[in-house]
Amino acid sequence: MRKKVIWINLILTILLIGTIYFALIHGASDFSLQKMTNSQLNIMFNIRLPRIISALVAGAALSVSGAFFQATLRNPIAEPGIMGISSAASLFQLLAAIILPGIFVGKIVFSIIGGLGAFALLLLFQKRMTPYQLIIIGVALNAVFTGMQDVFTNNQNGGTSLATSSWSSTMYLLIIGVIGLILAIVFMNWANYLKVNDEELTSLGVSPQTLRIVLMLIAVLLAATATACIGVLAFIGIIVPQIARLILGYDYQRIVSFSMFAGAWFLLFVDTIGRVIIAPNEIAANVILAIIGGPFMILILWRRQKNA
Amino acid sequence: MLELKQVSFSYGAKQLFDNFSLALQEHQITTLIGPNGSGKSTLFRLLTRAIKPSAGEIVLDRQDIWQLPVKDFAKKVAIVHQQNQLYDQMKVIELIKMGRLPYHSLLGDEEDDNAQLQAIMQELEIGDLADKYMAQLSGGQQQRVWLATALAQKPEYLFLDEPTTYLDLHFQYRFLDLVKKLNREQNLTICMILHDLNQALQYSDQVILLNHGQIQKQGNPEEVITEALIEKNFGIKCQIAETQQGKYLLMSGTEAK
Repeated sequence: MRKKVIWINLILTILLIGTIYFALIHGASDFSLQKMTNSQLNIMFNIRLPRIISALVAGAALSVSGAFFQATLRNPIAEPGIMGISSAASLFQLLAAIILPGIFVGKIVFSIIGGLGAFALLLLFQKRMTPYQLIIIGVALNAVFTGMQDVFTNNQNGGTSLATSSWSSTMYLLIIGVIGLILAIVFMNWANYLKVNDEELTSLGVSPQTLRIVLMLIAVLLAATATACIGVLAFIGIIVPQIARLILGYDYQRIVSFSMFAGAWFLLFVDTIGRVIIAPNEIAANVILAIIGGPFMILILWRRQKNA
Repeated sequence: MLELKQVSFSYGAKQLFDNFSLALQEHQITTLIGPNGSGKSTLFRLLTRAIKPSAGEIVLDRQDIWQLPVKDFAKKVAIVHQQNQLYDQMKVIELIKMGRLPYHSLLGDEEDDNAQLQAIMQELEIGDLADKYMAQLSGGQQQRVWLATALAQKPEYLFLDEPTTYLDLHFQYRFLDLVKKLNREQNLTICMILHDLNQALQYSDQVILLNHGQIQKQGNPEEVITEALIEKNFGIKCQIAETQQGKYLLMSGTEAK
């Protein structure tokens, strides 16, 4: 297993460096590093670089957030994007833009409040529902929040996406995102404890509710911050942790570490593909993720059905 | 000393226990028996802090168990629940390590426990299973892993909820022999629920026969498991046979037959 982990780290590092390099010089126009004009340098530093950093941090944040959702709800297809956390964050961010125009921190704080609100609603339902019923509740909440947002935005996209990344939004994402990721590393072993049922945990002297709330707070912080800065991105939180389980097994210390790096790379990869494939036009990352993510989710459920 | 003092408990409108008192004999094996719905599971859950009494108190070493922090309770009382869930994502060693949680901060390092855990695993003959997933084990092995987790808590009281239910005959007796050995060698106070009255007769120091939320009889196994009491409480005709190995209960069927 140790050898496998070293190999995976090596491959991920090479992929990360290669993709960052590719993303810097390719896009609507291709650059050559040897001879660059001032305007090209400007594009690279002020447009491509913040977008790359945003994709890396958001990819890591959403993947780790997904892993924590799955651990706390004991459900392999739980994820902030499809369960209404991200859309609630997005809706509240829109409210912030109306109430406190121009203050970016306000957007982030409101996003986190929105995410927590949606999480509280899910907790209310969790006690009475099977895990799969809870997913349906999440999907319904998601539809409600998205619908409300459409009312405000007159059915047009709220506007935040990776394509609108600026240095200011990127810095916020970088700072809060990295804090969230460090917290995730500190607490990731708690996700392992939640593999045991609540009755059992209590008799081992552990409060399952404490574990769940701490992990969920970290997950919501990560998802809401990412949403405030780059918009709603669903499915990445299912795809990456699930691949981690396939390759590395069920230890959350491994799942979370892998999700962090692989998630960072994966979102950058998806965004870069979307940027270059039909350049100078773009396919948004959320569109590509939905196209891959939907079938992937069906595959997971299919496998579980077969194993059950 | 673990005791119930004038405890009442009801499920909705149905009162199961009223002013109920009981003290577990220390360093002995006490078995709870009784027909379905007699209250033995509820009593078990009251003693293990899974449900709260509506009146009265449950006292462990002169402290109300509901006033104790969860961790402190877990240092004294360990429970092997009836397992009806398959843990396909949990490794044996991971689970057994969790038995040390009452002694650690949740973010702490647990390295210094390894020797202790190894010794427990050797004792229960599961030393070579450490890296297996729970779902890969047989029922008997899984039960021993749960027992190892409970022992890692270094408890004074060990509760076993129908520990032989999912085991074949060989493992049922092997498990009960192990329980008896733990009781004798480590002085553990053990309380378990058993359905098999012959096992109760053979492996207990004390038997508590419950019915309708009341103790029908409490005492040593031979006093409690008698033809008359079994017929009265379980509706089964039976006969006690004495052999060189001890007394056995031979069931001859229900009265309805």
